[in-house]
Amino acid sequence: MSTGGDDQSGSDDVSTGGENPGGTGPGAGSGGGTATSTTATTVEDLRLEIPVERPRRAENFVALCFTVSVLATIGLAITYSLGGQPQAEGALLGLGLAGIGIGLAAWGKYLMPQGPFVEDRHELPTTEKDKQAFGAAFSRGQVAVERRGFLGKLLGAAIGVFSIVGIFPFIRSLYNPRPGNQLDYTQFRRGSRLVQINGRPVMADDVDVGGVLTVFPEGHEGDAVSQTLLIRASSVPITTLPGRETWSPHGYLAYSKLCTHAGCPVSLYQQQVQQLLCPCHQSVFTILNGARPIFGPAPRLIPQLPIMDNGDGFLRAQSDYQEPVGPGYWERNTSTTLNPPKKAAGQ
Amino acid sequence: MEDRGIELARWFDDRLGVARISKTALNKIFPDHWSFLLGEIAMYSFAIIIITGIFLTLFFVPSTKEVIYNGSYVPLRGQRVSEAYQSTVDISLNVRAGLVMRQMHHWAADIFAAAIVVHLCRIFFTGAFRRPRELNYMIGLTMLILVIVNGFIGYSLPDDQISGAGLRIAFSIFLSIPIIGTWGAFLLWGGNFPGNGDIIPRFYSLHILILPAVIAGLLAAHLGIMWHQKHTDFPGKDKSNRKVVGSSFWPTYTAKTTGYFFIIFGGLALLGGLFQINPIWLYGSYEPYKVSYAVQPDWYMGWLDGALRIMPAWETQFASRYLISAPFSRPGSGRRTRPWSITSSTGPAIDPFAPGSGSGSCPST
Repeated sequence: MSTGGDDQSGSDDVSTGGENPGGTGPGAGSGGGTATSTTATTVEDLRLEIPVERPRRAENFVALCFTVSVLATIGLAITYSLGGQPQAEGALLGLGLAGIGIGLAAWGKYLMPQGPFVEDRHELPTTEKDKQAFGAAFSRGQVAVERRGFLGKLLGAAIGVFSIVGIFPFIRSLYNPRPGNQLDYTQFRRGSRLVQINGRPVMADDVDVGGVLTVFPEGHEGDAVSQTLLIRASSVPITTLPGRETWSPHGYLAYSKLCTHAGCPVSLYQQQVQQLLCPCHQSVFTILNGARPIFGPAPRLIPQLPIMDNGDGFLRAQSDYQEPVGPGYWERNTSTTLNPPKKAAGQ
Repeated sequence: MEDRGIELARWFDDRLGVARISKTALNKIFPDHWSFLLGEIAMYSFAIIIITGIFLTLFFVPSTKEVIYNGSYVPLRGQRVSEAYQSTVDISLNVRAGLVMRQMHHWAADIFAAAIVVHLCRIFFTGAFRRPRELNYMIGLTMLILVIVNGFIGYSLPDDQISGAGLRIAFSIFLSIPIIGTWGAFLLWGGNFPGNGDIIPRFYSLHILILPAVIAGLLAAHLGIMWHQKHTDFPGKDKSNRKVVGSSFWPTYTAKTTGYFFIIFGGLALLGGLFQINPIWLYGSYEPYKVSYAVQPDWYMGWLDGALRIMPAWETQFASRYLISAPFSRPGSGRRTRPWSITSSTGPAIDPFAPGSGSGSCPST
């Protein structure tokens, strides 16, 4: 049985009595389906023997199924015309269909000839003669094609050039816009006010310690790339990493809301442990030291947005993020940042 | 009645000459075993997906254009939603029998994929994929992949909060492919995520036309090859590699299998009517800055979602210019952005669901 081809080469260890149906055919069905009388016959000897002894009961069952189906379907029509109701529709449609189905299956199983009938499996491969005839037929045409080899090569070139050139407009139309450096930057600029989704600017005393807001650069509310989570983790500035001493006025930390794993919005802030949790794949980040991932599949710290308070009470961005936000991509390169941050401790 | 039938058969035979081949077909022997019905569940689920899907196309609007919802579902009134989302809510709550059809479509897709997997197990563990049936095995595997892809695409079409998060993850997966990832993702989405409204119309034509046509073609080939090569069977009396034993296609098998189609259809109608699935009106229209804890794909995407979760937190910078993400990178090659051992050594300390692990404010859901 270990060879791949036992369909063709396996042993003939079973009886081939089925090839002699004359004597065994009538006996096959009349025994009421008992196991002792099941020598197979060919289907040509199909007789209307059926496997049950009391067909009346099976008939009644099938009739009941079909009747239930008719009634349920009429009920469905009434339900539908009265305005519909999903549960009733589903139940009545289900009954209507299942009634047909169970009735038909029971009809086939109890009231139709079951055999067993036997049929030869034909050999799949054709004869050697057929194969050679095919080869000869193919060669005849091949000669006609190869006799004009130059034309054949020219045809290949024509089709090849067409295929290549034909792709260009297709691809070019799809690339609008091209990736460019879209993944490297967000819409934050120096001085961008942080606003909520409704466009309302965030003031320094808007959020209590322990509170969070989703913010955007003013004029780009709802922007998928610029979305930022503003957390008031403390009432005094927090230095999350060396070089970020001025990034958190009044204890506000602004982190990109895009997970560095798969780009989901990292939006669950757990105040007591000062962690962020991404609900998609359960990455956990500690916010007091630069949103470092401490659990889960996220590979990188979440980029932090440097923010400031110029004294007018509005929270503003000091600049764009200093590295690309969101998940990694092939062209991602820290040298493209506006102002490369110092290497994070522990990396 | 019978005379008329014979007359009709003659009419066709005079023109097509099909009497002999039709007789062979009617007399074809099908072996009996419950496990041979698994593939039929898949095939009939596909038929029911097409029937219910045609109904849904009559009402669904494949557009991400923003509109103000003003329909019958009060909690959503006044909200900005996409046309795709609004039309799906309308199908669910306003179109008569629309919810049953939509839920049947969704249930049928889940069961379609499940039936293929169980059918594949039967094929695999009985060795039915071996010569001469390798071609049909390959066709079947291809269909499984296409069904999973088309299921995910269909799940994305309503443009609700949860499926939108799934698309965000799909975009990120595309991005992670070395060299072509960024361009591939931008090509498909028509720009950076969430794109310029291209993805839903594109997914729509893939979902209702291109992929179903390919699946239908492969299914026809699958059935034709199976019919030609004949069914595999378990050992038994009179059975051999040269003999098939079972009941005849006409009338017994015809009655049973048609009945089976209606049973599956009815079962899916019961599921669609009585068991809620994907109530998108509760989720809201997709906004990229929102997320929900219910971000779970349909079951057949579990292998990919699970892989995303257990994937180590690796990223490698290649030639100090290009980034290779976890599935393609190894720790220790090139510059690591983070020692990979951190991932496992600190894991157990964090249990976000443990009592007292935070006030758990979730600002935007």
